[in-house]
Amino acid sequence: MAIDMHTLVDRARGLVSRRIMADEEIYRLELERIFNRCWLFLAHESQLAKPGQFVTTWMGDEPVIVTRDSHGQVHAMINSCRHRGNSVCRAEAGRTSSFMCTYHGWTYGLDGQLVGVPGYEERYHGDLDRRQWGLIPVSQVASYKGLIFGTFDPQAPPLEEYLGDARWALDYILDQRSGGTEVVGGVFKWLINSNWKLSADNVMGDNYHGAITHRSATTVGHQTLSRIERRNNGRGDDLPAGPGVRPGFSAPLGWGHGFMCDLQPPGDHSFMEHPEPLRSYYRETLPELERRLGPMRARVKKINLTLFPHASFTTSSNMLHVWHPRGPTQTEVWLYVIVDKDAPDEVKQLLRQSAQRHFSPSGMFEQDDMDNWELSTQAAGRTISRNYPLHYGMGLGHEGWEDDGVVSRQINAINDESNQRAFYYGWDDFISSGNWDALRRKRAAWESGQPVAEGAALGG
Amino acid sequence: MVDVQLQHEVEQFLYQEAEILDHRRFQEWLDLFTEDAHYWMPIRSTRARGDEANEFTREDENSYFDDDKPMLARRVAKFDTGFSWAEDPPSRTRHMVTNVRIRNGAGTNEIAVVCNFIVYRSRMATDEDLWIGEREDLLRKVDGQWRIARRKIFLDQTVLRSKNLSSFL
Ligand code: FES
Ligand SMILES: [Fe+2]
Repeated sequence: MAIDMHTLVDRARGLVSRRIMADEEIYRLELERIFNRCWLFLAHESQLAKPGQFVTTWMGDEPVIVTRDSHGQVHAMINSCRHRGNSVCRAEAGRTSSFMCTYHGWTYGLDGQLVGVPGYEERYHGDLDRRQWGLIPVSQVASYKGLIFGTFDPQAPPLEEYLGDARWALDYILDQRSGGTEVVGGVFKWLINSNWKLSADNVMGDNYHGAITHRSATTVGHQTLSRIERRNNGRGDDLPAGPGVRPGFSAPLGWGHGFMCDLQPPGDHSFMEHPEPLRSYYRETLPELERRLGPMRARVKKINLTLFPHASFTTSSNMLHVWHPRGPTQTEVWLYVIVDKDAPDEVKQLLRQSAQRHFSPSGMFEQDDMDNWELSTQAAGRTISRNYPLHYGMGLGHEGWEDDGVVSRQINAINDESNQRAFYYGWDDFISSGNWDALRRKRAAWESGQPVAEGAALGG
Repeated sequence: MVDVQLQHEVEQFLYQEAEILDHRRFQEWLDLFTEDAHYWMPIRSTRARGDEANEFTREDENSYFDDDKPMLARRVAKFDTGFSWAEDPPSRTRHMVTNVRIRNGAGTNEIAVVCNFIVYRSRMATDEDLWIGEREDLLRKVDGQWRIARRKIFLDQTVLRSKNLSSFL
């Protein structure tokens, strides 16, 4: 059945078709227009500290190897032998000098070049241009403050342009200290039977669900360790917004990026009332943070950011979730813990432990998200339910837009679904735009506050 | 050879624990741990031959569980809040404990015990999980009763094929 893409996101009413959460045809389109075009998170540089180190990951439905070669250069290429297609690497991570295919032995260097072909003279008679038969490269690879990204689209804009205003939040995560960041050893990986977008939109904008979904964790006094205040008997995190309770702002950006930021009133440092040694660490590093990032970010309690399409950062416990789609109704979640490289070991241990207890598969918070997303995904595939759109309209038309120069445009509260709407507007822009010029126009229009009216009304 | 009586005692202790978990008597389960208990489950990753040393994360790296007794108690308290959605309706688990080997310390009040486990979880109508692996316990005699002082859980899966780990292994 042909699907009219213009009926999937209804901007006038803030509605999103359920079909995009379960439909096979739309998923194929997402792979082509989103995952094969956008800059995707590949790895943290600290995972590739030494020459010859590699990790494997996913870019959409393509398995990718990310390496550091002997000159220190980072490469990314598809993990599929050019002879018959077999994988050339079966480990998740390791260290090597080359990748030999286990089928006939074609061998590739750390840069993906074909460096060895058994029987090159006797069987191929030297008649094989090895330069043409290297592993399929990821078209562009670039780093932003320790994070390595790649895109399959040679036309994609430079990484910094792609990230745009999301860098304000990213810098808070990656650039508080001159030594930069590293990831803690070990990446959590687990499978959930839900659509990848439900998780991505949740982290960037859903401060509505915490009071219900995560009520059991907050009830027993479980809390995260990052720069969060400990008011409300330690229940400071994820409570519903109210005037004066949560000063902060939402930044629903173009191209589907967005973040929400909780701020402390100027001069109020109660957000550093954490267990030692974290408290001392935060106190001692605050001047450095302020020097590097300015007074506004010295007031940040917490930022939740999703980089479109599928990398979600939560600064409480310093986490990065990557929501790898494994089909329209399955997601492979990868969770990294990012810490300041120069932090004392005890601080790194506290943050690592906090992330595990909070948002790993066993996490006191994370456990309770999964059924919600799985059951929502199941309903999205059903014959009657799928014709009834999802409501993303909270606060639509009541946004307190403001411009204080932090990002292009922001909303002076965190109490609506603006960020999630921005995510689906971005999604719609990528799905419906054939080239980057059109995408640039749409982003500029959105960020200047004059979005082009796109998308027809949904359902009745 | 390990003392038959001790072997029997340890096996019965582990079977009892399995029953307590499967019957959701979690407060009782907590009592099986010493006050200084450590409950730890590393992440496993697929590694090439020769790189086995890096297959499991180390204790100072990420792990599915890295809990002391107060943290285990908080997990248990969570079940009873009335809002613990991952366990409401509750999981139906079945813990099978086999291949029990007593490693050392017979005759002292601490022994290392290794066993294999299969934990099956059924939840709601059709959710199913199968967690299989090896457990390494340090058991200590406290007031004449065996107690778990350390538990290390080594799962056979690398990518966890479960939406969450809201059950104990
Ligand atoms: S498939 Fe790789 S060498 Fe033949
Ligand atoms: Fe959540």
